[in-house]
Amino acid sequence: MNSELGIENSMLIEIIFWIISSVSIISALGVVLLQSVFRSALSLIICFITIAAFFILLNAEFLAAIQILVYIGAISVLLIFAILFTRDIDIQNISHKFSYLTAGLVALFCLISIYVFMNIDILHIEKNLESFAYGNSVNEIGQLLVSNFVLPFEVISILLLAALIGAFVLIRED
Amino acid sequence: MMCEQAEGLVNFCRIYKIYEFILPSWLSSFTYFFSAITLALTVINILIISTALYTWFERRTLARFQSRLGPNRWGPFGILQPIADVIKAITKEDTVPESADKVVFNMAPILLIITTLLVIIVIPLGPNSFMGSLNIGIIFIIGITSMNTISIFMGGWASRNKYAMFGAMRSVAMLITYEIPMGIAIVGILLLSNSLALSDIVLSQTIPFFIIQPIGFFVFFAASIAEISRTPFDQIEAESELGSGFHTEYSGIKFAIITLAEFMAPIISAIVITTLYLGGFKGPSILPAEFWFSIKVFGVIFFMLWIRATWPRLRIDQIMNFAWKPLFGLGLFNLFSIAIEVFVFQDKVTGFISTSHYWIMAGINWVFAILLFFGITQIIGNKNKEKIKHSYKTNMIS
Repeated sequence: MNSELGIENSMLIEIIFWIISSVSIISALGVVLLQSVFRSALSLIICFITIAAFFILLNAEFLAAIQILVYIGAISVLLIFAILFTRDIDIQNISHKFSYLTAGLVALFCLISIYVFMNIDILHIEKNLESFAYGNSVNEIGQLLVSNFVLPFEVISILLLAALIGAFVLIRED
Repeated sequence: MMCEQAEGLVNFCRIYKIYEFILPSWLSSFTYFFSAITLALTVINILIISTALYTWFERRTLARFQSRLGPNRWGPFGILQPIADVIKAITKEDTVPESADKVVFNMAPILLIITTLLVIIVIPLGPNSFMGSLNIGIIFIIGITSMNTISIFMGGWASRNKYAMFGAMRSVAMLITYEIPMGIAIVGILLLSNSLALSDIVLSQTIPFFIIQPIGFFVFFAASIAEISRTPFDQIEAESELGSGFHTEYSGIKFAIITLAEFMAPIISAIVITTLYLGGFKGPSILPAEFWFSIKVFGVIFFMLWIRATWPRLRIDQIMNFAWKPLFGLGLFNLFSIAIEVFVFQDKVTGFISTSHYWIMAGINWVFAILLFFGITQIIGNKNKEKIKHSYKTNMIS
């Protein structure tokens, strides 16, 4: 999209990027630091929305829509549902019994591994990116799902089916 | 900026050209910005005004159905009633419950109206008049409508009111449930149109899709009435049980905003139904495409009102059963039959289906639809008869 819109609009996109990223960092901090559980769930939703916005900025519209559909429409709704069904969860102050050192180390490890993977290019990211034509990533994703990645796709569907049946077995009364 | 297609009433390029002409040179770098804002404001205002008119139309029509007069005092036929309503709502005191979570309480109505308005972005109102033609239009719509749930939840939770909470719970259970048959019905459309973009879906409807897949149309229509929680599915705000559901504690301008979102929802869902199943902006070229579009939307809205005036409210367990048993099954059946028909009739090279093949598919599906509806009504009717007989006998014995 950047190439089409000209200079002043690429600047506009940069401004939008900085706004979105600051919102995303603030809301991610809010998830950890806010006292009320419901509010931190809401800020988690804001964080998900900003990630979807990043996907749109990167021309990955399909991923953005799936992000909204799965993470906001399903996962966070289930999260809030669980919070509402738990009695008095928002009245007590829940202490965060979580070592910040461990969390920090895990985050550092993730960052380093992302950096390493990007640089040694073990996943052939750039080569795979080239195969995605501009603006029509849905077709490409669909074709890849039934050709190159058909095995993981089918395995995931079997996994989901097993999870569904497991849920039904768990909630059966007799 | 490339701007060749400047036809269509709500067209970005048309507005862009006007601004290019009007604006002085030192403001020219903002042309893009100004024209985007103008387009967005135009569409939002059209929607809000038509929502105001729709409230009047709904009250008048319901009154006609129930042999009353309806609002008839202000203006010809009471058409200025919405203005009076808005003035009344704004001048009321804006109360917030003492124990409420104030930030979340105030944010909920705004989020509700935002998620309702966002759907209109991807809808093609005419051949070249749309706000943004996303390639993933239809997934965008499903995602955004699922975000509605969260704002209802926020309103219900933040007011610290048991009735509001129950309303929110019911709404979430209902919305999650009805998203499933809706999604399955939409897959049937995608199989025929070969695209996720709404403009492509409209253009591929050489005959409207509701003729080709009547079962899918029924499933989608029922599910979308449930998604916007209108009668017969309005358990969210069942007045006799819950006060008025998740917005029990709202008053003043916030209540006005929630009502606006609630009354805008039927218009939006009528627009989506028109786009997906009734051929969108297509029509004879005597009149502009936008006019055909609004006529179809009006027809769908009137049909929804008719349903509302005819059926009583269902119980919450009946609503859930209706989603999981008949609608889910019908949706799956529709999906399979469409998939098989597409596999048989599709042109193996281009992937498209000719109009005559469309008519054959329509014929097959209508036969299926009539058989299924008769079968299901027979089964349900017999069950109910047995139930009534059974309860009658037990009553007699006791």
